Amino acid sequence: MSRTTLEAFIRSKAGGTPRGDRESELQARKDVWLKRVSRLYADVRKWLADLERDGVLRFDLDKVALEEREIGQYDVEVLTLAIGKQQVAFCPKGTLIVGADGRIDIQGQRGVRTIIFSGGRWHLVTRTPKLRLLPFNEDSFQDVLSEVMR
Amino acid sequence: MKTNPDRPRLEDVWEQYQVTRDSIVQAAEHTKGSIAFASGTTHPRFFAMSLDEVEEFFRARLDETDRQACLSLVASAEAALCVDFWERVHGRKKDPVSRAFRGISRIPCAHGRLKVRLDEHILQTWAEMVPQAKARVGELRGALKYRHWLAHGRWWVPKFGRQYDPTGLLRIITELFKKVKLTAL
Repeated sequence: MSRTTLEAFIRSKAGGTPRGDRESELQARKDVWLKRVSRLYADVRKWLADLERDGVLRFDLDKVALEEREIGQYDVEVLTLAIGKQQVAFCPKGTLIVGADGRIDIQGQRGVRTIIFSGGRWHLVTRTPKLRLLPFNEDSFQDVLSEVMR
Repeated sequence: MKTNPDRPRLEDVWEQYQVTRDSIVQAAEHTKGSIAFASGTTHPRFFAMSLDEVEEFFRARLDETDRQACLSLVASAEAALCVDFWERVHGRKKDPVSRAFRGISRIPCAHGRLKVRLDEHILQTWAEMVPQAKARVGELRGALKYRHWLAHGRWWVPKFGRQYDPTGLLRIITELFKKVKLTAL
């Protein structure tokens, strides 16, 4: 067994990253996650800026408490679009998820679509007929709205 | 009545249950380990799930595994008691229980031979002829209601008066078998 392999083996048996490092990594991850959420909200507002200016829709930002097992409780912003009598909300679900660096559920009165952050960008998750990731952008957001709104 | 020598014994059912449960627990740990900084691949069905959602998914699978094991355990116990019944009938043993079983097997009915029933014939005989087994028979009778609910698709909301799980059911069955000295498990 080479020295590198031995070290990796012992580290795996020791339970991974030391506790202090793990906590700071998680805090850093949470901070990055919150910035990504804010940036996404800014993009969404930009996509719909004309409609907001014309009074067709309204944006509301509310802080809610999010609990993630290893990170603990922290505040995160929920962006809500008020369109006519309907609302569509971007509800962050957390950064500690399987296979990606963060997830937001977009909830409307007719349904929910999930977007995830992975590989430096946001993706729309499609599960049927099989798992697919599509870029989340102005065009796909229009599809999402038509699916989650009545 | 020809009995099936390949029927699943209690220990077969228990082994199946343990292996299935261990596999689920292992899969849960693997999936949970793939969250955050750990590496590793997971099944697409878990993609984008949070830790709580992953745990809830596997908790549901474990609960279902427990219920299936309960059904199989009681079915295996039923098989063991029925095989014992027919071995006593055909073996012409002289003990009182065997004599009682032979008597039951000869009861005539409208369509030929009587259909021997686990509860009203076999368990009832054990309860009457081996008084120290009566409480255990009562426990298995309660478990039969649970088995009935499971086997019929759980379409009604049951009232059992107690919770059933594989470990508890195995205890009920093995204690009854000890009381009636049934070794052919």
